Amino acid sequence: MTPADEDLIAKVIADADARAYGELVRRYQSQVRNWLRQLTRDASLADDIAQETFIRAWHKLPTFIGKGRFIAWLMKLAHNEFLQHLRRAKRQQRLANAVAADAEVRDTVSDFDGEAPDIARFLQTLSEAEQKVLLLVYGYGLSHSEAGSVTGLPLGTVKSHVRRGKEKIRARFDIDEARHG
Amino acid sequence: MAEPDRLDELLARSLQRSIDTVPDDGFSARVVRRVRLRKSLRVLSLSLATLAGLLIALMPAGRALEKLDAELARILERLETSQSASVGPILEALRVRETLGYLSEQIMSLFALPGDAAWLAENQALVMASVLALAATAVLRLLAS
Repeated sequence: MTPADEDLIAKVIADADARAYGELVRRYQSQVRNWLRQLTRDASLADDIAQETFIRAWHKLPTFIGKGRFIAWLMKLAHNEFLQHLRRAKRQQRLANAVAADAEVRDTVSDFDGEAPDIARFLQTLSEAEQKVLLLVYGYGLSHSEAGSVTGLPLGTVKSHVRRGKEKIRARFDIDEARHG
Repeated sequence: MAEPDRLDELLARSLQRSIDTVPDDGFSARVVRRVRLRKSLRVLSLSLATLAGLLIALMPAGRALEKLDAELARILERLETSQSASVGPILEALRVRETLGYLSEQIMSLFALPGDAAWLAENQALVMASVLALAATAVLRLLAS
C-alpha cells in the first residue's frame, strides 16, 4: 500500500528518514519543477531552484505540521526560493528578455474557436500576479487562500486577481457567463 | 461559494493541460543524495564541535589533575610503611592522571604505534580526550538513532 504523505512526513521528522523524503520528492517534483519553470521560463534554472527548494523543505519540515496541504507548502517554499534567487542573482535581464519574447505571443494568440481556446498562451499576456494566481488556482488546483499563502498575497487581492484575469480572458475570447448544471 | 461557470471549467482544462508532467530523470535521487550529504556533514561538524569542546574543557581539568597527582604523590611519600600498606592502594587509585597515562599507553601498545609517534606518548591526555570524544559522539549518535 502506498503510504500517505502524512506518514512519510512523520517518518522524516521522527527519524530523518532520507528514503521517505525521497518518496515525497518523487511525488511532487513534477509540480514544483513545473511551477518554477513557469516562473523562471528556464528549465535548468528552475531545476536548480527546485533542488534548493527540496533541500530547504527537508530542513524546514518540522515547521510544516498541521499547516494545510503539503503541496501548497512546497509551492510556497518554491516561490520564496524563486524570489530569493531574483534578489541574489542578477538575472533580471534574462527575465526581461523572456518578457519581451512574451510580447510576441500577444500577437499570435488564436481566437476562441469553440471547444479549446488557447487560454494558456493568452495567460502570458496578463500581469505577473494574475498569471501566478490563475495558474495556482486553475492549473494546480490550489484554493484561493492556498494561492495567497504561496504568493504572499492577501486573500482579497488573490480574489481580485482571479476576477480581473477572468474578465480579461472572457473579453478576449468572448466567453459568456452561462453556468452549468 | 459561487458555482463554477463555463470559464472556470475552460480555465481549469486549459491550464491543467498546459502543465506538463516533468519526468523525474534522476532529480529525486540527486535531492536525496544532497540531503544525505548534508546529514553526514552535520554529524561530522557535531563530532568536531564535541571534540573541540571536550579538549577545551579538559585543559583546566588536566592541570587540576596534575596538581592532585602531585599532592597525592607527596602524601604517599610521607606515609609510614604500616599506613602505606592499607591507604596506599586507595591513594594510588585516586591518581587519575597516572591511571589515564597507563590506559593511553595500553591503547597505543594495542595499535603498535611506531617510534616516530612518540609525541602521542607525551600527550596522553590528548589521546584520552580524543578517545572520550569519539566515544561520546558514538553514544550521542546511538541515542539520536
